[in-house]
Amino acid sequence: MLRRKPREKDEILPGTLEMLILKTLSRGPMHGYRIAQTIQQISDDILQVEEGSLYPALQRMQIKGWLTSEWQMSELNRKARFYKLTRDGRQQLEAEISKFHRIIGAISQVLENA
Amino acid sequence: MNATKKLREIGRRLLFYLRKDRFDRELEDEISFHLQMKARAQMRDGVAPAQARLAARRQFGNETRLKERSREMWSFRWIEDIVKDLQYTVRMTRKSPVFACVIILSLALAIGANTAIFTIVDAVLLKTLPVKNPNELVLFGWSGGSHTYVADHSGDMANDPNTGLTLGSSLSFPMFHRMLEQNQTLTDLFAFAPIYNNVNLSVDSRAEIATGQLVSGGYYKGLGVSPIIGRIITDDDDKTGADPVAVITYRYWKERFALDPAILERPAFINGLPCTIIGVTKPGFESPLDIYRSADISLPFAAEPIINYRSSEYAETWNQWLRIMGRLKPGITIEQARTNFEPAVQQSAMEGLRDYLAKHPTPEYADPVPPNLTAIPGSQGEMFGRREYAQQLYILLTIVGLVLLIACVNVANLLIARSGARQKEIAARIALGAGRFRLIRQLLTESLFLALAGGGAGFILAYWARSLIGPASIIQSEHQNVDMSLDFRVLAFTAAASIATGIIFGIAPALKATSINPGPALKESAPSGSLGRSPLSLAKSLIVVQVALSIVLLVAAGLFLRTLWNLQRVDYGFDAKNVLLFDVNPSLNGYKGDRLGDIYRQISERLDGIPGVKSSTVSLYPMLKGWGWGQGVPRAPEAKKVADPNEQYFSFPVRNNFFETMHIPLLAGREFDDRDNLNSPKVAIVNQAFVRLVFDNDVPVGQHFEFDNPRGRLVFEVVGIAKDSIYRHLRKAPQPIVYYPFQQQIKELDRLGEGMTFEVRASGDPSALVPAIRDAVRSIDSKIAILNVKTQTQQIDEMMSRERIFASMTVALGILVLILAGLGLYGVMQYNVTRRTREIGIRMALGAGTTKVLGQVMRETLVLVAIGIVFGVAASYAATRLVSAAWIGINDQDSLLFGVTPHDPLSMALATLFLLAVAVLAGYLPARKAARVDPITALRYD
Repeated sequence: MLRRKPREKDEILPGTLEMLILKTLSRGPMHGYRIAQTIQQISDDILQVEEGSLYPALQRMQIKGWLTSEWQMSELNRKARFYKLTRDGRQQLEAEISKFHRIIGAISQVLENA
Repeated sequence: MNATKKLREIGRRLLFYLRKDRFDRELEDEISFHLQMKARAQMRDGVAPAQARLAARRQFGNETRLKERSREMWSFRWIEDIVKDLQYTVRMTRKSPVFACVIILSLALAIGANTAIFTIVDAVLLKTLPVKNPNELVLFGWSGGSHTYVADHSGDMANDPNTGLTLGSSLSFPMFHRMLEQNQTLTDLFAFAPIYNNVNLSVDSRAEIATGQLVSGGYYKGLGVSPIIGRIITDDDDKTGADPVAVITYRYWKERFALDPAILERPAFINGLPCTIIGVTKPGFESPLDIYRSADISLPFAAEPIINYRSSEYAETWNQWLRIMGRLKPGITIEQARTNFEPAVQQSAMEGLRDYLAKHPTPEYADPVPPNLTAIPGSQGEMFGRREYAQQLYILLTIVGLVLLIACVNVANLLIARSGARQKEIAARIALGAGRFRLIRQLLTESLFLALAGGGAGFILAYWARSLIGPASIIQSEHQNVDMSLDFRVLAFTAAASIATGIIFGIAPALKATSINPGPALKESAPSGSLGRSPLSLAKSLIVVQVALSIVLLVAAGLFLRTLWNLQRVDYGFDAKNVLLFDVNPSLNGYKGDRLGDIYRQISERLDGIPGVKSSTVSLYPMLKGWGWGQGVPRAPEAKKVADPNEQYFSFPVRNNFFETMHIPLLAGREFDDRDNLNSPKVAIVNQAFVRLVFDNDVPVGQHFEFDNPRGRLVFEVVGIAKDSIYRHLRKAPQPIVYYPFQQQIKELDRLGEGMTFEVRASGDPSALVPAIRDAVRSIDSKIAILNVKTQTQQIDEMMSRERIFASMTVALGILVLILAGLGLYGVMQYNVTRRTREIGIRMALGAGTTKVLGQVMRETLVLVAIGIVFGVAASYAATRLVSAAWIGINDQDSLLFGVTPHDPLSMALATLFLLAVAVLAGYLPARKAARVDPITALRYD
C-alpha cells in the first residue's frame, strides 16, 4: 500500500475536542483508537487527535456522565475499552453543536462586515 | 449543572479513590491496546513489526504525562492540596513543639474566655424558650405616660429610654377574661404569675420552700410543653372547686426528689393543704418567667385562694398581677393581635380604675388614662431582666474580644519572628517554582491549624469553667431561670472566632514571609533573618499596638479592682461580722394574727438559748439584700418643714433587740421593749436620714408622724433615733428608715405574707450554728421550712458579685495579657538581635563595650513600649469616655464604677508600671544575648 504523505495538519480548536468525540460516538460504541481514527479519516487527515489530549478528555467526559465505558472483545482478539454515549451525552452533544454554530456564525459575521 | 448531576459526579470521583489501582491497570491496558492498533496500521503499510511498534510508541507521545493527566481529571485537586498542606503543617509543628504549644495555649485562654462570656450572652439574650415554635409566641404588657394610672401592680416595670414611657409586665384577671372573649387572632391565650412569697412544699413530712407560679388552664398546651411522666395542667384543673394539682419541673424533680418515679403517688402538701403532683415537665423547660425567677412548681390559678393565706389577688378588679402570652394564628402579625385586644383591655382597665377610685378616692387622679396594651415577640419569655443585663454583658464581651485581639497581635509577632528562621526554606520553594499564592495558602493553613487547635482547647476550657463564670455572678438572684447548656450557637461562635483569629494573625506574616527575593536569600553568606527592613518594622508596629491594647485592658482591670476595693470598705453602719441569717415564712403554714406573733417569739426564744449564740433578732428583710418596703413621705404636723413629696422612706419591722444585736448605735431616745405591744400606742424609731427628710435636723424624740392607708389613719410616736446605716444598696447613701416593733405590725405582716429574716450573732463561726438552728425551728413546728441560710458577710458579698466578676475577670485577663506582652517583646527583640548579629559584632570589634550594647538594645525595647503606653493611655481615655456616655443607668446600676473616676490616674500609673516591668524583664534576655556576641564568630558566619 502506498504510504500516505503527511499532510499539513491543523490543531483541533480548543474546546471542540469533546464535541467531536461525542459526535463520533453517536454512530455507536467505539474504543479510543477508533475514535481518533474516525475523526482523522472523516476530516481528511486535517484534524489529528493527540492521544495525550484524547484519553484525559475521555476520562473527563466519563466523570461528567456523558459517556460510559465497557471492556469488550476487539478486532485484535483481546479486550479493549469501548465508550458509549449516554442520554446526558446526547443532550450535551446537541447543546455543544448549537453553541458552536452560534459562535461560528458570529465570527463569520464579524469577518464579513467589520 | 443541577444538583443531582453534580452529586453523581462527586460520587463517581469518590469511586475513583476506591479503585485507584484498577484505574491504573485499565489505563495501562488501554494504552497498550492503542499502541498495538497503531503498530498494526503501520504493518499494513508495510513496515516491519519491530519498527512498527517503535514508530507507534514514538508517535504516541508522552505516556507518563498522559497517565498523569488522566488521573488528574478524577481527583479532587483542592482537597488533595489541603491534605498535603496539613501534613506539612503537622511536620513543621512537630519540629518546634514548644513554640506551637505557647501559641495554642495563649489562643486557648483567649478564645476560651470569649466562649465563656458568649455562653452567658447566648443564655440570657439569644436563646429562645424550649417550647413548640417559640417564634409564634407573643407576650403582652402595658405602657403608659405620666397620666396613666395603674392602681396596683405586681410585676416588673421599666422606663423605655427611647419613648420615655413606663413599661409594665402585668395585666389583670378581668383583662385576661375579656381577652379570651375577644380573641380572634390567637390559637392559644394563656396567663401565668409568679408566687412571690414562694410555697412550702411538704412531701413525706419533709417541708422545703420551693419557687412557684400560677398558670391558667391553657398554659402548657399554649406553650406546647409535654410531660415526661404524668400529665399537665388543663382547663379542667383551672375551675373553681377542682382538686388542687401541681406540676413540677424536671430540674426540681432531679434536685429535690432524685428523679423518684413514685413522686406522683406521694401525698403532697402545699402550704399545709393537700395537693397532688400530677406530672413532671420534660427536661430543659423551666418557665417563660424572667431570668431571675425560677418556677419549681406550677399550680392552676384556681388553687390560688386556697393556698394563699393572705387576701386573694382575685378579690380586686384593679389588681394587675398576671403575665399574659399567646400563640399567633398562621398569617397573623403581632400588631394585629395587639389591636385585637387593646380596646377590651383598656375598657377593663377603666372599669378597674373606677372600682378602685370608688373605694379610695384620690383627687389627683380625677381624670385617669388607661394604659396602652403592648405586644412583643414572646420567643424568649419575659424580657425585663434580660434588657437590664444586656449592657453589662456586652461590656464583658468587648473586654474578652479585646483580649483575643491582643492574643492575635501577639501570635502574629511570634510568627513574623519565626518566619525569619524559615526564610531559606521559603526562598528555596519560591526558587523551585512554588506560586506565591500557594505558599501563602500553606502558611495560612498552619495559622488556621494553630487557631483551630487553640479554639478547640478553649472550648473545652470554657466548658469546665462554666460554673465559675456562671450567670449566677452577674444576675444577683437566688433562683435563676437561665439555661447555660452549650448549644450550636456557642459552637458556631467558637469556630468562627477561631477561624477569624487564624486569618487575622496569619495573613500579615504570610504576606511578609513570601514577599522575599529568593536570590539573595539563598546565598550562603546571607545572614539568617535578613528579610529586609519591612518584617521587623511590621513586628515593631505590632508590638506598639499590642502594648497599647494591653494598657487599655490593664487600666480597666485597675478601675474594676478599685471599685471592688471601695465597695468592700463601705461603712455599713452595723456590725456584719459573725452574723447568720435565715428566712422563715410561717404564713405559708397557716399562722395568722396572734399566732404569727407567737411563733416568731417562740423561735426567737429558742434561738437565744442555743449555746454559742450571743443574741438573735428579727427583721423584715436581711440588711443589704436590696429589698425594701418603700412608702411615700408621711405627714409630720409638729415638724417645721414639709418633706419633699417625691422622696420615699422604708418601713422596717424589727424585733426589740435589733439595734443591740446588729450594733447600730442609738443616738437619742430608747429601744423598743415589752411595753410596746398591740394595745399600746404605735411607736417607731427613725434613722438620721429620716429625720433630715421629715423633721429637718431636729431631735424629734416624742414627736409624731402619720399617714393614711386603706385601713385608716395611723399615728406613730418617735421614741428613738438610730445612726444611719446602709440598708438596701452599697452604693447609695443611707436612706430614710422607720423601724417598727414587729409585734405592733402583725396585721401588716399578715397582709404581706412574706415571712421575716432572723439574724443570729454568734460568738464564734456563725456557720457552726446551722444544725442547732434547724433543730430549734423544727422542734417548734416541723412543717416550717427555713431557707436562704447564709452569713451576713455572704449576703453582702452577693451584692458585690457583679463587681467581683468584673474585677477578677479583668485581673486574670490582665495577667494573661502581661504574659503575652512579655512573650511578644521577647520574641521580637530576640529576632531583632539575631538579625543584627553581624552589625553588633562589627561594633564590638570596633570597641563598643558590652554595657553599651546591652543598654542600646534595652533602650530600643523601652522606646517601643513607651510609644505603646502613650497610645494606650490615650485609647483608654477615649474608651472610658465612650462607655460612660453610652451607659444607661438602670435601677441602681448608675455606673459600673464606684469611688473612682473613669480617668483614674492611679490605675493608669499602675498599668504603666506593670507593663514597664514586664518590658524590662522581656527585653533583658535578648539584650544580654546581644552583649554576649563574640565578634569573631559573628563576622565569620552565622
